[in-house]
Amino acid sequence: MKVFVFGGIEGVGEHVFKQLAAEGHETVTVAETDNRAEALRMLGATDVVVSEKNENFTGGIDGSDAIIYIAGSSFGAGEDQEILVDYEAVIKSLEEAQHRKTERVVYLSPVRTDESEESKETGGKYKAEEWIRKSQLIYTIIRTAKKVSKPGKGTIKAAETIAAADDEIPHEDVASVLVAAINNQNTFRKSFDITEGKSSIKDALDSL
Amino acid sequence: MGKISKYLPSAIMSTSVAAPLAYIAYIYRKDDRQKQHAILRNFPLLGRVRYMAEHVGPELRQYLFSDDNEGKPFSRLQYQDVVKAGKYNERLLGFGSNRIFEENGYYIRNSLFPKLATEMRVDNTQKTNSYKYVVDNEGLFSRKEHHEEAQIDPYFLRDEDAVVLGEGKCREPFHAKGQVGMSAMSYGALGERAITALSKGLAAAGGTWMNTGEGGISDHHLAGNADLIMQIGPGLFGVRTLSGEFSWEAFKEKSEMKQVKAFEVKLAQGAKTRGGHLEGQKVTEEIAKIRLIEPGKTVNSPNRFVDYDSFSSLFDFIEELREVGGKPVGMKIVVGDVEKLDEMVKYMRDSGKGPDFITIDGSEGGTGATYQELADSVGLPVMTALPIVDELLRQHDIRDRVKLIASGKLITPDKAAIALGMGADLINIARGFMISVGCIMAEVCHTNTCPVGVATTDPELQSGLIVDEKLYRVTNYVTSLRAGLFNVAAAAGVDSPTKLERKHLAYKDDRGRVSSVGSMLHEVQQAEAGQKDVDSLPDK
Repeated sequence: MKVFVFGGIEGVGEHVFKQLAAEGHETVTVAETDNRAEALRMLGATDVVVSEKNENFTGGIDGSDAIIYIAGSSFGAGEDQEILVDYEAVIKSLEEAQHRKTERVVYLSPVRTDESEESKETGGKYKAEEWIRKSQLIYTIIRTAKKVSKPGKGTIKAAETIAAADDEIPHEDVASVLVAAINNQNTFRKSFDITEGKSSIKDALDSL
Repeated sequence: MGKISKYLPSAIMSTSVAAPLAYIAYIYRKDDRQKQHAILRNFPLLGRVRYMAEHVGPELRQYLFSDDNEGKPFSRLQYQDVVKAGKYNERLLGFGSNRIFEENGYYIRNSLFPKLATEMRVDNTQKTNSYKYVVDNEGLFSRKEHHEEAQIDPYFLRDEDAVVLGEGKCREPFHAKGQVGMSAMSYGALGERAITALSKGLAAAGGTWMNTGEGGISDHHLAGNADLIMQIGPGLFGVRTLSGEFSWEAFKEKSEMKQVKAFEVKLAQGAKTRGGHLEGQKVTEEIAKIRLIEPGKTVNSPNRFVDYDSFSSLFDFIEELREVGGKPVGMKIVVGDVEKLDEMVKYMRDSGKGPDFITIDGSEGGTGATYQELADSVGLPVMTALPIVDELLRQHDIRDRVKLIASGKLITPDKAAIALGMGADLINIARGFMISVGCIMAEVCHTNTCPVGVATTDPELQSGLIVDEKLYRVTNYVTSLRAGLFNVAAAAGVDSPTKLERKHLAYKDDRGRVSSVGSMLHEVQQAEAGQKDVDSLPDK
């Protein structure tokens, strides 16, 4: 399968590339510089489009079977730093995907499971989710607990809403969920939360 | 029962008064009559305060009276920097530097256009699983913190930037994906627990190496499967016959071990330009087996390889070691005689022979046991020695044939970066790693009574050192050093610490004037030439 990855720069993204490569998927992505492109290829990306100001990158979507969109991280943003998401950019990119007939989208939302209503509205973080739900895309929208740099456990908890305040989930496990969701039909057109837990990722996604 | 309860309180009372009094009287008499100390004869009992105060002075100064920049060989702050990097894998500080900027010293010239994080040629593809401490609450009398798993960035060099020892010269060159490794520390000098924690911690970090020290390869060095550089000293431990000759058979056996990545012939050590002495009682069955010596017998090793006293004989030996072992061979030196070094480099150029790497130990380097006169004043410090060797090699056009490893108190990223700028390709650290496994700088390494169980083989003292806790501090320390090197490189405007050069350094004197690093050799050569002129003056 050919997967286009958006925003795979730090934390979760790095693991997504490694895991996609390990499962034999082809991956296409965009990089800001040649140096980043080299780093992404080292992680396992097969095709990296270098685009200085994120222009003309949508060409890479052509022929992709699915998209993993990791919102909330951007070039130069520090690890674990939740930054404002340009929801208009998200919508624009996904409109382009829809236009190019790539319909399967796994969207990692920048909205955290325990986030306050007020915070969700900052910069319209939640708006991209609403747009996706109304679109023709075969979407999976995932919100996570606080993402941390810890070794993955291979087990999670998934449910429509989880609101445990002190929960956390390793980047590696979030990446595993994104990769596993691509082909898991039980996650199609669903929005759900994930956090640390005891079920295997497959079981957790199957029982949604 | 009744009797006991009736008389016990008064019995306790009377003994608790009488016993100390009797003891005091005993000590008083003892002090008064002894012949060793005048102060105790004149002031029995009271005179003891002097000895107690003298004994705990270093601790009092370290904890209470010295300011943060005082304290030798490492100040309180330098020590804390190492400990914090190991515990928290973090090196952030608040408010500003405590360096004394009026003093002379080296500085890194920052670029007006530093490199962005995304522009750095770092390899963080493989993550390192470690543990670190997280502070929950810091109070006056207690700090609440917990230990948690952490997945950390290793800060490797990219494959193309890796430093290669013995490239094109031996069958199995050593590729170092990081520029910081552990300097020579033998089993025996350090206990098995410390060596094991270091081996495991370094292996977990990857991209680093562990120098075995001249005491040979112990099982503890092998415990974590870290890359090893086996050191061969004049005592030939581990590669000798029982009678003390070099054993090619034993060497071949060592060179076939997959953990052994290179050999280092030790000509000298910064703190110890002398031979070794190992007391018979310390030569246990295990030590004897590792070093290939007889158990229970005192061993004195010479301060020079007895068979090699010229460059031609030494380099022929090195050539043969490389040929037989198939692995890179280097040598460890202390710079003192620059004229002789010039001769060596010329010989390397003309003969095409010589080591794959030269480890330059500054005179400020550490040791488990030495004499004051050798530690303090023999040999040049690394920041002088290193540029001299670098320049000599460049002058004779063979800089690309040999890699330079620098050591001597380079325990923080800034110091290591300065050494890289002065020409080092790699950095060796010993005491920084000791601190990361718990050393508190009690300075009793030579006595086997190390209070934290690091530099001792005493099982009881070692029981305080928990390998599974300390190994992660080693991992965190070495990865945060590498992260720090990338930080400095970015500030200097280069995308990898391998690209740090002299032009990135400045030396500021105590009057605020700045000079560049580069003229070291010229001045030394002029001074030596001047010295010769004086020597050759006819007697009056």
